[in-house]
This record gives sequence, structure tokens and C-alpha cells, in this order.
Amino acid sequence: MTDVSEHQLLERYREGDTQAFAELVRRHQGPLLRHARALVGAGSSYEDVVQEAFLKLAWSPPELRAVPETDGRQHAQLSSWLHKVTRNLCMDVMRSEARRKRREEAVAAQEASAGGLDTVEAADTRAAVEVTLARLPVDQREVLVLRLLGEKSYREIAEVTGKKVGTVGWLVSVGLKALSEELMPLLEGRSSRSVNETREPGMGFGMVQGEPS
Amino acid sequence: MSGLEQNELHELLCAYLLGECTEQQRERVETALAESEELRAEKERLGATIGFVQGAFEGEESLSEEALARLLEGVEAHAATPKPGALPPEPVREAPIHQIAWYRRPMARAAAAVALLTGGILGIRSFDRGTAMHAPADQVAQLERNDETRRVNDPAPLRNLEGLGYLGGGAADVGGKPTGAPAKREAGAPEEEVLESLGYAGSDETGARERAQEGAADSNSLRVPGYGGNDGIAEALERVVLGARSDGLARQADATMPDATTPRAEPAAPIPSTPSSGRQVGAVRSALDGSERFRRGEEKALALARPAPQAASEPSRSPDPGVMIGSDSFFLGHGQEKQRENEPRSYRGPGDTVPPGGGSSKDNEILPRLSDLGYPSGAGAGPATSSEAPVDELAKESGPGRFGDEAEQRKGEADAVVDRWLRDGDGDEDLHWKKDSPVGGPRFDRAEIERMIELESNRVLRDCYRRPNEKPGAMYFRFWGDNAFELTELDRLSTFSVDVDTASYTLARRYLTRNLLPEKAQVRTEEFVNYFAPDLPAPTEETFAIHTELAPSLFGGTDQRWMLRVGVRGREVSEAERKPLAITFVVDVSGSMRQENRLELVKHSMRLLLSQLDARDSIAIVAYSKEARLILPMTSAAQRGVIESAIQPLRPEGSTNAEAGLKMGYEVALAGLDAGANNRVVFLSDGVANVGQIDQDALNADVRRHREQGIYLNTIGVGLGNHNDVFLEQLADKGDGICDYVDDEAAARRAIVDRFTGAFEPIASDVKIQVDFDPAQVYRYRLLGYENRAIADVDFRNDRVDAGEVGAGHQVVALYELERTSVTSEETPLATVRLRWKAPKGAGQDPAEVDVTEIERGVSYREAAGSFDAASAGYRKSVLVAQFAEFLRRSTHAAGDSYETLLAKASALQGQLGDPEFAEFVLMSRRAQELILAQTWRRGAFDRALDEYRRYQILRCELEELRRNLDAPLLEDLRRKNETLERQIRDLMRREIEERHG
Repeated sequence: MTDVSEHQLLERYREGDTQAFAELVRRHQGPLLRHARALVGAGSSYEDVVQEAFLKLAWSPPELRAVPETDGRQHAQLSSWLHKVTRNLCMDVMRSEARRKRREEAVAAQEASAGGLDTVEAADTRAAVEVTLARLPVDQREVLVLRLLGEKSYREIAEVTGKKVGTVGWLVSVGLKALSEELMPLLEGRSSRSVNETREPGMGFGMVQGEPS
Repeated sequence: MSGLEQNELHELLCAYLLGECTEQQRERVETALAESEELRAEKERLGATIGFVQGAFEGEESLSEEALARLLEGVEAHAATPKPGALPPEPVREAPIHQIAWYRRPMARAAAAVALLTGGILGIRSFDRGTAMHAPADQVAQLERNDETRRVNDPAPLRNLEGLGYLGGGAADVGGKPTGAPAKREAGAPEEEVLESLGYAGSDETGARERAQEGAADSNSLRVPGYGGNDGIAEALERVVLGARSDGLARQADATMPDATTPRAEPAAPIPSTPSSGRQVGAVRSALDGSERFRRGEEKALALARPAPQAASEPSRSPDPGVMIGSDSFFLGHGQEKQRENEPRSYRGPGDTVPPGGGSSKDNEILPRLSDLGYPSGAGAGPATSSEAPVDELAKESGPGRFGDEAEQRKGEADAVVDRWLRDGDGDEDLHWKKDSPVGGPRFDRAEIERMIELESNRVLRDCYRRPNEKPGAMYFRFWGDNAFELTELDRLSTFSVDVDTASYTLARRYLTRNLLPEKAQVRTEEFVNYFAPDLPAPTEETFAIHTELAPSLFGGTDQRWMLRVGVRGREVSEAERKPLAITFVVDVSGSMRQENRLELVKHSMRLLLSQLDARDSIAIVAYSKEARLILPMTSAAQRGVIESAIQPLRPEGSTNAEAGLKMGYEVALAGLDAGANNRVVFLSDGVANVGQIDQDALNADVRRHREQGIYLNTIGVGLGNHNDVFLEQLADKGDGICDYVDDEAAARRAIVDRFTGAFEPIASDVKIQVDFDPAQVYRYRLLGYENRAIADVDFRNDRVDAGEVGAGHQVVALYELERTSVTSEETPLATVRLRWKAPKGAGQDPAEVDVTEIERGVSYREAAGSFDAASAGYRKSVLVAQFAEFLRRSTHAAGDSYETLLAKASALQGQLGDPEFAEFVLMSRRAQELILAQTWRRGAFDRALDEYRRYQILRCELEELRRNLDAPLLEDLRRKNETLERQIRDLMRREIEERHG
């Protein structure tokens, strides 16, 4: 079914073919999950959000513009639509004070268990990146995830987030810089395994992180 | 290379690596790369980071099997319905219910929504439409729809509203919908177009281009010779504002209750000095003001629009931004919006949209063109909502990446409402089941749309109502985030805690040099004013001296407004008599401190501070990143070599555990606690805490607890982008210390050397100011700034209530804009300023033993200066700086004020002062002019209608509070306005929703 256009898939679904819908889910779920997680955090119900976005697609699918089916623009259209819906749902989630608290606690707990970057083993690079991403301000995190993991262009990100292209560029720049600095130990660690050793011995005594609140 | 260029280059570099560059940009990056080794290293690092991140997430991510199965189950159930595409009937909807959390389940939401709907409607009815109070919800909705229909057929109310300056394109829309609607659907991409109309401009280039085209199209269509709006405005003024009762109401305003109907004392009504010939007009006007409160910009606009219609239709070429802001961007955008300077103006606002006959012919002409350009039908909705875009973007753009959710919360309430609504997201979870995606796709059936409109309208309107026991000023603050003009008769006391921080100014300056506007919450007017060097004489014997100065308000827009400056100056403490200092530095050495050389700046600051210390003092250093470590135990400041060798090797590394740093800092400080010294922790950071406790409340409590033990906390912030100003400000606040923001060496010198004793030698704690206005002489007043520092009036003498600290030599200035009544008493002061403070509490001192002092000083009209220019230089400086802050924070009170005046007066003052800090200010305000003028006060039609509605609610609240003159004609008048506005809001909402859902 991979060569079928999204337009056709939607049509088939309208005619009652749920497999067509499943195909749409398969095509879009990855970036949406990442987007949602970037916004509401790993500890929360980001999967629910994505599910709900797909339900919205099922209940009231958008009209896709008639563009040539081959060049992937339909995919971009539907993808943008889904990202926007996902984003809105995330905003709802984030607005809820209670849930935000939970999200923060989840991140904090995750960090406590992760024990900071320096101790992360190479095998856990993904966890390390997630933790580092989670520390970025949410708008930087969002554009980075959309750009690096969702392969969206600045332009598309601007459309999804409602920001200007220039702002997106700026956020990417600031976020990437922070990310590269935070990930430095790991990047270097890959080649030389530094940081911990370079710290002057006897320079200070480590203090374990404070109790969680 | 300047920091600015560096940032820009970094952006380009990222774009380059991500394949987002144009050919030109690519060349520029490559040239730069060839030249700079540093940049090549950065490129390597960023490239590696990108690869690393992408590599880490290799492989597809998918919903869990279970989740997918449940999803498809829900979908299948839906697909089985006969009409795919439409909303499924209720039973089908229930199908996927088990997979959704209970509070998200459609039925739960529906139930909640029905409850709210009923409540909301009943509320509205009981409020404004007693007759319908007991009608069932359906019937009421039907009534409402009938109203809508009537309204569409009868353009009169609309026209009236336009006459008042809100509702840019209201009539245009109603008139033009038939032609506009079909055209729009064909035009361009539905998603983009709707998105655009919702304020999410697709991109810079296309957005600007389309707006430009739209503007060009309008200006062609709209340059109607002769401009027939005059009659419409005048007529509308009389009909809507006063209706048939204009005379009666005006007379009443004059005689029995000037306060209620003329919150803004206009020349005619309450002031006897006004010639009585202008009485009638003045009364009409003041009643208008009464209903609209602070809309002086509008008045200016009306005044300008009448004699000079040509100017109104060509503002893009307005040579004078001062006039521009006066005519264009009235309060909260009542009427025309301020356009970007280089952008042709799209049509909106009263000047454009009030043709004499209700506005259909002109609008019909323009509608097809607009829709050709991709604007939604309903000409009003197009430009009006596109004008909302900047508000939204502005908020996002001006505050990228600092507060996250918090930024959302701190936006103006109106912004938030619209924003939330535009995004289709909503804090009320119970209600959001019926909403859908932001863009064109989803289709709802008619009944669904009606229900949505009803619910949304009710929710929005409900938010405008007075809450139980809410004061008018509190409503105002809730709506717009500014201090309101308080009616003296209702609340004669204004009480607040002093604030000697100045970080807001430094931070804003940093933003402006980067051509960004700080967020509203970041601009704290009082910190701007208090940034500047003291001009008041310091008392030699007492701890404090109160100074007051009164002069006509430069920006009041009327000669009845005065600006009172209350200045409090603290005693100086000489270097010799200051207490010894025991300082513990807590230094952020996390990875983010590598950016912009932040850590070097921090080291520089520490060395500067060290240079102020001598053998009496001691310092300790704690560094923290992932965890905290002791760099230097408490050491005499005389041991420079030891200290320097501890500072020098600090390097950025790892993550940011502010909590661990603070905790160890306090441990070290406690260990070295010296009862005879001034014990202080100095926290230096870019303010991003990301490991450990990041709950501000808990950290605050920690700081508070240590303050009880005698340790102060100062915070010094560095960096931008990740800088969390609020975090640091709150910490310092709880630690009774100063929060500084340092962006370069000069700022560090200023914060640490120039203000050394002020920052490190406290002379008083819990300093509170209360100003008591005489209702007989002061009709109403407003405090500029100190929004976060308000204290309940009754707590002024409650010594358990915490307030701000003041260091040696500090000067605290508060400005009150006030309107005088006709009474001028030579005997009694028009205001009495009271100051209450405690002696600073040392380590281990029992709070009960601390001395409390209170002094006061009266302000009488006798001492007032005759004009702004006749006031002292210090006074003028405070006023001008405050006004700049008010512009910058998009204060509702600054709308309509002339930026030109600010610049002119500031330049003149600078000529006299020769103060380098003020010179810098003048330069900055000049540079920021374009930015501020271009981006402030953009409000769409919906916003404006909502603002108007809120104003009526506040007025009603004031009337209720005053407990008098609630007579029938006035109530009837209010009721009618409320009703019209309510319909208007519903209509605008209907239009939006219909736009989106076809």
C-alpha cells in the first residue's frame, strides 16, 4: 500500500476501508509521537494525544488540495494538518496546571534516575539526548524535534507552530547551541572519554543531588 | 565581531547545516567558515550534535500495538456510519470511549459542557435579559440565533459599534459575505489561508507579500474621495453612547455622579473651570469616556479622522510616528491598528469601515479582491484577524524560549483568550471535545457549529463577568495586566512593597539591541525607573526621606491629569561604616554558561566584587553544574592570590542543578555565619535550572528559610535566550536581596562597584509604601508599575507581611497618574505618603525584637509645578523612563500617547543632564521606536469587541461598588450596550468558526 497516495488512502477510508486508515497511521505516527513527546514530555500521555489526533482525522478528515500525487506534497499537507492538531491537543494538556506538575515531576524523576549526563553510557545515548532535549525550553525543543527528527523544513515548522520562519531559525540556532554544549561530554566521550578525568582531582567534593521535592 | 553578528552567523550556520540556506547565505557562511577556525570548530560540533541526535533516535517510532488496535477499533466504528466525513452521531462517538481518559470522554465533556452552557446562559440572561432566564437552553440558543439573523438584517447596531471604533470590519463582513464566501474557497490552499486568517502567518515572505498585496488592493479600493465616515461616527456616538438619553445621562453625569460616568474627567463635566459653552459636547464625550474608560487614543483618532480623512486612508506614509500612534493604535487597537511602517495598510478601523449608508457598496467592491488574495470571506474577518497575527507572533517571538508555559500564562488575558481560542485549545477541558483542528479540514454539521458558537461565546463572555467580590481594579488587571485607574472613592489607599531591582531594564536593553521586544511580564516599569542614579538628597540622620513632586501629566492627553512622583531615598552608608561582609558565591558552571562567554563575565563580576572588599570581609565559592562542589571555603578577602587561583580555573561543564548549588552555598554560608557581619549568598547563573528541584516554590521556601537564619540572597543573571529572569527575580525577592542582570562588563561594574553598598549593605527590610488619596481632591489614580508588588491595604501595618528590602543609598520611585476633582484644598493634602519599614534583621535575631518605623508626608496641590518642563530633572527623568516602559509593555494606558513627545522631551532633558546612563536610554528609545510602534497594540476585531465588553463590565462593577445612582436609564443604557456587544462577540466568533469549518 506504500505507493498509494494519501488522497487515495483518505478516499478509501471514507469508503469504509479501515486498513487505509491504518496505513495513514503508520506513515505519520513516528514524527507525531516525537512532536507530542517534545511538547508534553515523556512521562505523560503523549501517546494518547497522538491517538486523539488520529481520531480527529478519522472523524473529520481534511480536504487535501489537489496536487500531483507523486511529489510528496500531499504527505506534507496531511502531515502539517496532523502536526497542528497534535500541537493543539498538546497545548490543552500543557495548559492544565496539574498535568504540568506531573510532567515536571516525571522529568525530574527521570533525571534523578538517569544520574546526569556524565554517567550515561554510550548505549544510552538516546536516553541522554531525551534528557537533554527535555531540559530545553519547550519552544526550542519543539522546533528541534520537528527539524531534526521530523525532517520538517523551517517553513513547515513555521506553519505548524504559527511562528515566523525567522523565529524558527533563531530557535533552532539557540536550541542547537545549547544542545551541543550540553551533549559535549558525550560527543567528546565518544572519542576521548574526557570530562570526568579532566576535572582536577581533589578540587571539590561532589554533592549528591538534593532530595526530590 | 559583535555578539549580534555572531548570533546571526550562528543562525546562518545552523541553516547551512540543515540545508535551509539560500545560495547567497550559503556563500556567506562558506566565506566565514574559511576565515574563522572557531566557526569551523562550531560547525563540526553542531554537525556532530545533529548527527548524534538523529542517530540516537534511529528507527521508527510507533504507537504500541494495543494503542493502535484501540485506535483502529474506534475508527472502524466510525467508518461504519453512513456519512463519513460528517461528525459521527453520538452513539458512534462512544465507541472509542474506553480508550480515552474519563475526563476527556465525549460524554463527560458533553455533560460538563451542557452544565456550563446552561449556567452560562442563565448567567447571561439573569444579567441582561431577565425575560429569558427560565428558557431551556435550546430555546435560548434559538433565540440567540434569531437575534443573529435580525442583526444581520439590521446593520444599525453594527454601524454604531464601528462608529465607536471597535469592530474594524464588522459591517463589511455582514454586507459582503455573500460575495466573499464562495470566492474564498477556491482561492489558494485552504489550510494556509485559514491559518493565515487565524493569525498564524505561514512564513515571513509570503505573509508579508500577501499582506502587502492586500494592502495595495485596499488602498486602491478604499481611497474613496470625500470619505463619508464623518456622519456615521457622529451619529453613532450619539446613538450608541447615549442613545435617546444623551441629555439626561449627561446631565446626570454632571450633577449627581460625575465619578461613575466620567472616570476620565474630560474638560466639560465635573470641572467647573471648563467653559460651559462646551458643556453639551463635553458631556457627550465624557459619557463616552465613561463607557470606555481610557480610550484617549480613540478620541485623538476621531479628532484626526474628521478634519483629515486623507491622512486616515494613507497612514503608511504618515511622516510622524507620533501622530501615527495617536491616530492609529488607540487603546488596545480600538479602531485602526498600527501598521508595519513599510506595509501598505489594509483596511480596518472606523475610518475605513464606516461608510454613511452601512457600507455595502464599498465592501462589495473589495471583497472579491481580498478573497482572490487568499483571504477568507467576510472582509472583516480577513484583515481583522490577520491583524491578530502580530499579537500572537509578537508574543511568541519576543519571548522565545525563556518561560515556556509560563510565558503563556503571563500574556495579557485578552491575548490569552483569543490565542487559546484561535488555537482551538482551551483550558476548560470540559469544553474542548467539540473543537477540532485549527485549519480548514474538519467539517461539522450545522447544529454542531451552532453549539460550538454558543459554548465558545458563553465561555468567553463568562470570563468577562465580575467574579464574586472582585474589585474593578482587579478586573482590570485580570483583563489587561495593568494597574487600573482606581476610583479614589472606592479605594483611597494604594499600598505596595518597594522594589529596588533593576534587572528588567538591563534585560530589556539587551533584547532591544537584538531587535526583539521583551515580553510584557519582563518589563517592570518600576525597575526601569529605579535603574537610574538617585537624584534625591539622601537623609543624613534618618534612615529614609520621602520626597514628592507633582506636575501636569505629560502624556495624560488632558490637562486634568497629573503625575505624582513619590521618591524614597535611603541613608548612605560610607565604606568605612559598613558591616563586614561574608559572601558565598554560588556559581553556575553548567554547559550553557559557555555560551556568549557567560562564565567569563561571571568571573569578571566576582573579581570586581572582590576589589570592593577588604580584610574585614570574607568570601567562599561554590560551583555547581550537575552537582555542587566547594571551590573555596570561607576565606578572608585579603587573601587575593588564594581567591584568584580558585576563580581562575572554573570551566563550564555538564547540566544545571541550581538546587544543589544553592543548598551547598547555604551550607557554606551557615558554616561561616558571622553574627556581626552581613551574610550573603550571591547566586550567579543564566537562570536555567534543569536538574534537581526545579519547583520554584520549593526553592523559594528554601531561600526564605535561610533568610530567617540571617542569610541574604542576591542573584546576578547573565545571558539571553535561556535566561530565566523570573526565576532569579523570585529567588532574590525571597532572599531579601537584589536581582541584577549583567550583560557586559560595564553592566557588571555598575551592578557591583557603583551600587556596592546599595546591593550589599541593607538599611531596612520589609519596606512598604502606602499612599492615601483624598477622595475630595483626587478623582482617580493609577500606580505605574509595581504590578507584582501590591500589598493589601490592611497589611500595611501588619508587620508579619513581607515586603522589599532597601540597601544603603537606594532610591525608590513610584509614579501615580491621577485625575483631580474640582476641589482644591489648601489645607488638606491631596495625598499622604506613608512609609513603613523594619530595621534589617541580622543573623539569629528574633523577629519580634526588630524595630518598626513609620513616617509620612503630605502632598498638596500648592507645591505642584505648573508644567512638565517646570518640574525637576529627576522627576522628568522618572516620568520619561516610566513612559518608555509603558510603551514597551504595551500598557493599555500608553496607547494613544505620542512616542515623538517622549523622544523630544528625553532629548531635551539629556541636553541638560549630561548623564551617560540617560544618554544611553535616549539612544535606546530612539532605536526602539520603530520596533515599538510597529508591534504594539495590534488587536483584531474580536479582541476589540471583547475589550469593549470588558470595559462595560468594569463600569458596571464600579457602579455596583459605588452603590448609588443605579437608576433605570443608566442601567438600561448599559444593558443595551452589553447586549449589542455580546451579540457582536458572538457574531465575530461565529464568523471565525464558520470560516474555519466551511
